[in-house]
Amino acid sequence: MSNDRRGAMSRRKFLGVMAGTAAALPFLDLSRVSLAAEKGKPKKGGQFIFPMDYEPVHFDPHISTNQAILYFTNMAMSGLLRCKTGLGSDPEKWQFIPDLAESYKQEDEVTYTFQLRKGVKWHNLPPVNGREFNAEDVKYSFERIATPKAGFDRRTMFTVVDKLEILDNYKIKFVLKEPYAPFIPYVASPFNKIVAREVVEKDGDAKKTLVGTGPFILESYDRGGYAVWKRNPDYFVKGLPYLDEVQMPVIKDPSSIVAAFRTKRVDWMWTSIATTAESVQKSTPEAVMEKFFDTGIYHLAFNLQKKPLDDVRVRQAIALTIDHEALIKTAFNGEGAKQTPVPIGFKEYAAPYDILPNYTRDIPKAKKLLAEAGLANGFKVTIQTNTYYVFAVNSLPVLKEQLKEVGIDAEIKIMESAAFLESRTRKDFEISWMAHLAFADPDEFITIFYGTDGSRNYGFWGSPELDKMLHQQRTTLDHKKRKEILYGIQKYLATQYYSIPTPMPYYYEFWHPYIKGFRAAPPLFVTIGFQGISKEKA
Amino acid sequence: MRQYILKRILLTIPVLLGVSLFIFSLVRLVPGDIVVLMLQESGNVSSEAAEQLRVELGLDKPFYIQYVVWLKKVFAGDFGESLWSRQPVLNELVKRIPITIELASLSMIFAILISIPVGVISALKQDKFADYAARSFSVAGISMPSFWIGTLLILLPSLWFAWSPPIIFRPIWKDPVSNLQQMIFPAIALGFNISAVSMRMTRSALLEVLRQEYIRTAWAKGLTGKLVIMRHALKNSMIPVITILGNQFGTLLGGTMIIETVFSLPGVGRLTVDSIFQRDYPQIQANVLFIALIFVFINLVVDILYAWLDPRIRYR
Repeated sequence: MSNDRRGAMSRRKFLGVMAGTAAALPFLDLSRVSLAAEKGKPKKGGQFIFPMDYEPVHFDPHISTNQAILYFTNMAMSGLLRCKTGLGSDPEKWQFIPDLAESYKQEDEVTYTFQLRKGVKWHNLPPVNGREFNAEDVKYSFERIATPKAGFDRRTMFTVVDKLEILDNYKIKFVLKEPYAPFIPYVASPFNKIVAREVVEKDGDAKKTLVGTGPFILESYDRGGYAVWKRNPDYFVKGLPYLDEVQMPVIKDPSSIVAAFRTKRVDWMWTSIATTAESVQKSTPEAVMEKFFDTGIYHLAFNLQKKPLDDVRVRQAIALTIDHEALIKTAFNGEGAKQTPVPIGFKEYAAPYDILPNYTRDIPKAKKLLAEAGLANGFKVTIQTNTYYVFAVNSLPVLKEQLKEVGIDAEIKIMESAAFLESRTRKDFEISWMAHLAFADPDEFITIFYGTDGSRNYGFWGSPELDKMLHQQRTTLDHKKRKEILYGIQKYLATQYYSIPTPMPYYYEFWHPYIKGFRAAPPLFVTIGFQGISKEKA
Repeated sequence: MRQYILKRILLTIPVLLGVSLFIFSLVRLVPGDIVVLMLQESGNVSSEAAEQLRVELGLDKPFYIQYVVWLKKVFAGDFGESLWSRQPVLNELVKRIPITIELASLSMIFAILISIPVGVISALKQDKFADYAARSFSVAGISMPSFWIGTLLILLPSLWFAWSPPIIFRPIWKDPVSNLQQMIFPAIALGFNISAVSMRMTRSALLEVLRQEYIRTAWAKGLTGKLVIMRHALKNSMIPVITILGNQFGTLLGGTMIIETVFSLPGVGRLTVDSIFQRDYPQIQANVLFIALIFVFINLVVDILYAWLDPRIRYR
């Protein structure tokens, strides 16, 4: 039992801290903590404890959009490329670096050749039994990702691939049908891992057996309990990982995670609730904290088959009614930012607010638009959301009052997760406040949601004009030109308002100072970074 | 007595059949189709894909056929596979039973250890300070939800003493110290409410017994207070207390769902909650049947205890 009495405090002091925290909330500075330069060689050995708030229901990365699966697959598997993690990385600026590919070359606008690492071994577990990784594995995996079958959500990422040529055991060429700007981000997407053919042939899928070429091997997983990972002694990056073991206990209760972090029962935690972050920062001042915006999105999605939401003037009026700053103040305690049609996490591509129409609250204009649409007296509408979307749940009462100002009577429906997801999938809603995971590239969001045949077009959104612009941005390799097209798309989306992007909270990640080599990373690939971290104390 | 016990055991079968039909229907009526839930990860779900998966999962057949097929397998000891992991649901359930049984037992022990002494003191010191304090404790215990007590028990020690319970569960036979460190607070959180209710019943039952003539006779005979209370009064006042404790056991089993989630204990309660959110029908059905079986068993034990406490009670 750890009875470290540093940080112990009397009840009076605790109450004082809580009162002080409450008083200081608008003023406490949750700036990014500057990270002190780390000196000395990383220490080999030790155990890192990472709490899991969600558990994977299976291990197949190709047929999932659930980030819990990535906690596991990022540990055991590798991709051709991966997102940079650790020292020198920036959670708000994704960089794609070699993983199983030691390099790649873009021969022309449509041809990419990947030079694979030699001597890489699969985990020494059945059915792969430590055999060598080769180009066949890459071809198999990317053809599998593009399987034209329900379940393979990211198939649309690679339908652009015309040919996959194996040049030799360690070289593979992708020839695309047309230039494709998001190709490299998609190759590097944490979901697009290289899977072993033997696993899929044995089980019919990769859901049950978790083997890969990654830095850690799953030793045991007690569902509902914890997972134990051991260092892969044959990992292709010599000297890594430093850690002997990673333990991932399942802790779903936020208070338990906070308490466990304070008492060093776990080495890392995250939250997107500002008051929790402030409380942790105050009670554990020695912990390192970093905050950033994710590339995910919250948005108020309209079902265009429900009247009067099929009228663009009505949707614009609703957009003009929303006071985003008030929502940030209420739901995020002032710690957040207005969202843009391309998530603000994509710093370079998210349009500045001042170029987007209908982005500033304007009640008279909203009323005028409703009157033009024949709804001067307002109308009734149901807004639903998921109990898990804390920000939406906290914001809805505020939004309801805002909409009342233009005569819109909103009925709030907070739904249990499975019921919400079914209603969303069946398109059985009027307005739905949705939330989505981080995306590897702006194209991943805007195409699958707003393309007329997008796989997640939940509200009958899109138009031929927009499809043309989406195709244009996808096939423009020049970064500056692509940015201009994306700005144009965002202006279009801020006119049509198929959905209204709603404020984004920060992600706060905390870790103890004895963890070295770590930088905050989106949950989508945070566990990739474990290969490069070390622990100062045992 | 033997005949009575046998009769009660046989009566368990129709009870469990009724529970099974009820839960089988209820999970399928709740909004949130598992087929859609499984496929929604890939965005829009085509009706063909949904139908194909429905057939794979055996959910395409009429309700009554699904129920009969499932029931036949249950009688053969096969409770089916998880719709998500495709592993036998019994494996997962059996693994977690000891944790929930331990939690429920510790909670009940805590409740009894608190409620009976406090109830006795409260009755003996009626209308004195100790009585008021005990009754205030009882009101507090009834009013405070167990999950709130649980959250306080997690957060406050971490702030005051820089201590929190171990997060990785170790069975009591492998590491008793770590196990008890992890179980004691959830047991308190769960048992607190029960102890409050039981304390009030102990108090009022004992007050009633203390007014009986045979107790007056015992005092008149010059017996010590300890003898009067422990030998004569307490045992006779226990019948309503045992009834309450037995009824509360159902509350306790339900409470494990919340407390196991708050304290990250991998028990049956948390498994049931997760299965409900995932609409994992076979797992939910197996878990609920297990809880119903435990509840029926506890009620039988309570009835047998009555007979032991009060020789006048005889069953046929």
